[in-house]
Amino acid sequence: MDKLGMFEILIRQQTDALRTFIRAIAFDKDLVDDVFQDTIVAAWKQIDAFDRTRPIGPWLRGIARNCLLGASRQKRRAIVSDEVVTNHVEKNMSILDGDAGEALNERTEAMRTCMERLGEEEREAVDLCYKREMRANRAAEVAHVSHDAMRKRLQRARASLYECLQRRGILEAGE
Amino acid sequence: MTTENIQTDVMVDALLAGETVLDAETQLDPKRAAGLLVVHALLLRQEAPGDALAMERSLAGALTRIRAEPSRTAGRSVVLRRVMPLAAAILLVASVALWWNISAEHRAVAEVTSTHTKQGPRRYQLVVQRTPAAVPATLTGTYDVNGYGQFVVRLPLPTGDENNRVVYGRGETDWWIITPAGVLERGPANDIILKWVRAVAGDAPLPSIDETLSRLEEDYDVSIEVLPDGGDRYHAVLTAAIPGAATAFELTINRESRRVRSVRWVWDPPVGSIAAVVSVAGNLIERRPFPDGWFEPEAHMSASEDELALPVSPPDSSPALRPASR
Repeated sequence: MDKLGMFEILIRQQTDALRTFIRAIAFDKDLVDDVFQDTIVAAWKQIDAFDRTRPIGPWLRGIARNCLLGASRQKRRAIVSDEVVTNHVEKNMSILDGDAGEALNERTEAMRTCMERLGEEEREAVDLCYKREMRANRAAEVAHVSHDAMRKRLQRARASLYECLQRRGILEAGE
Repeated sequence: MTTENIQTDVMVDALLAGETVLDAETQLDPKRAAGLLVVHALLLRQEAPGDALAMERSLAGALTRIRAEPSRTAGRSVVLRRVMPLAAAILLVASVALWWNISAEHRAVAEVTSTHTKQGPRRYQLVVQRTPAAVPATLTGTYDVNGYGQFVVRLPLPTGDENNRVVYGRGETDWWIITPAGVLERGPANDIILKWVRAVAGDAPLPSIDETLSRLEEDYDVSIEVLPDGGDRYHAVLTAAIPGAATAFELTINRESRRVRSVRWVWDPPVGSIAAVVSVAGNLIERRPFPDGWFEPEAHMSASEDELALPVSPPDSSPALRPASR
């Protein structure tokens, strides 16, 4: 297998986590796609400089952060610019990534369990806005509630999931 | 940055992203803000149906860029990834041939998920050219698309009977199809399309978009021609021996807007033993707002042919295929 083939295998193991990281910081779908690609291309160019004794996930995310900043400046697209917040996102991703190489998929099985514990209204909000990709105003119509109520349900759903995942050690622990 | 700034940051981004994301939470500390952002990303990853496909498409685009690096056109950065968001449109057109001529080797794609969000509402004319022996030799349909993921395809059956069409598409949430018998089927995923295609095609394979993109990279020699009118034209020539595969395709886009002007797939020899498709082309013919509800099936259960009429002279006809330059 050639070098690029090996690189592809390596990258494929990391795409899920890398994309999750980028998406946590950049909300614009196009920006996520652009930065994801830019990161992989940049990683390929720098692969010879990668320290093989280190995990590749944080290295890729470091490249992604630079790409995010560059794309944000160049294309005037908004990202979460607070360094403290992005550092915490990175910490969370390191936990999700797993030091022992545990796959993101396995670690996020807990997400399903936490989802099952959501209230009916919150589950519906997640279903409409994430699974069925509706905007909040459309979701509100479908659920026959006000726009504000739908947004509150989403907020509560995310907060519940956050706390549930935190309790399970999947996300960074609180104070 | 202060907590207030974080809230502003999050809120602005939420607005940009179309409201399905984070609201300005009250009293967010950085750790909690980060946690909620990750939860949001995980929800998108886990729940959004098209996300895995989008990720695979991005990865394929990145690998294509890497492979294209040494053969860049002189003095110009070739951005192959631009092709990727447009792949849906291309593949949709390619899927036309599926309706009649699916063979196990014919690896075109009927699954279409999205086109670029910035391209806006537009109509393409679809032209299926068959061998002269087929009657009629040319079939014409339409492909209407609007923003992210909404589209409607209207195709005549191989008999050319204008009153006996198949219409399928994706509206705000659902996939749907109106079969030639006039029966409406709809569902939340692409299962319905899959079912219908399989009903027509027996056990024909229905690979996903990413599989097809990977296939393109593996089996086609892709080159880019820079047009003087602000367009980019992509040529791909089949280099592998794959029975039934399109032997060439050509895609022309506006460089800046990424809007597809035209696309054409060619089979040489023609594909299919009955209808024998020689080429399938899509040409941008109109940009217009569609009526409310156009991408929902109800609008097409009763739409008259007058409402769907095509311009007599398409402004952007399909360019002739030329040999690809390596």
